[in-house]
Amino acid sequence: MKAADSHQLLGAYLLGGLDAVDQAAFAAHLKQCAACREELAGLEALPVLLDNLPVPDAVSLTLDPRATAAPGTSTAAPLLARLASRRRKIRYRRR
Amino acid sequence: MPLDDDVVESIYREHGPALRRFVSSASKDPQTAEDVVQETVLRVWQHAPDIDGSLRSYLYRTARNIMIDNYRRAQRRPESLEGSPDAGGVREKVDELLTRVLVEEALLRLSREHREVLVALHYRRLTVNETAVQLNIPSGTVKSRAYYAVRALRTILDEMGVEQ
Ligand SMILES: [Zn+2]
Repeated sequence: MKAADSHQLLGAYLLGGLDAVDQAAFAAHLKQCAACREELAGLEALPVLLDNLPVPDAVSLTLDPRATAAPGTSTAAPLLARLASRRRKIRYRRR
Repeated sequence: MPLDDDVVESIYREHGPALRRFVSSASKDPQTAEDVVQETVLRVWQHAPDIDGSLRSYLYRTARNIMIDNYRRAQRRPESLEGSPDAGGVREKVDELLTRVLVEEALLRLSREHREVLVALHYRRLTVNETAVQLNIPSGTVKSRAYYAVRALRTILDEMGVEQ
């Protein structure tokens, strides 16, 4: 395996899914490669953070892209009314 | 200088649905949820010049603070004290939801190719080879995408100001 490929095993090493051969190869690579050790240290907290999102929610992100989700039905009118009233209050205070 | 109506309206249109999903998961009352969403956008209007980094994560954090403030205020009213959970518990729950939406948001910002590989390996616990079959790409591509996906995710989370 080329040197560049060895570094790249870091992603699947971190996320899981490497077979025994690649797992051993990357473990050996880590011992010799300070750059990968440093990079791994910076990424180590990632899996725990990812676990805050439940599996079904994460999987659904790959099934139905949010971009095509139903458009918002609510109107901005009540918000703009509140905005206008807040603006008046601010003007009043500044007077 | 505060933002003008057009900008506020476009923020509301663009980020309202996501904010509403976040707030609704913490509040059962739709009217309360809508109030929190509107208040969030109004605060952004007031504090626009101080915002740097991701607007979406700023909105989420602001909504989180408003929900916790509302809860504290409600607790001070004696009639609502009975049977209510403690404020610490509520904050914990809201913070948990906040982290969840921030992770979701970060994953949505990855390219589709990176997101698919990351979800397959981390969440679905597939092996590299299973992922390759599933996505119909060589296993070498799964490995390199996994690498670039975690790097990209790291950058996205940093930009969003998510502490790790
Ligand atoms: Zn290396």
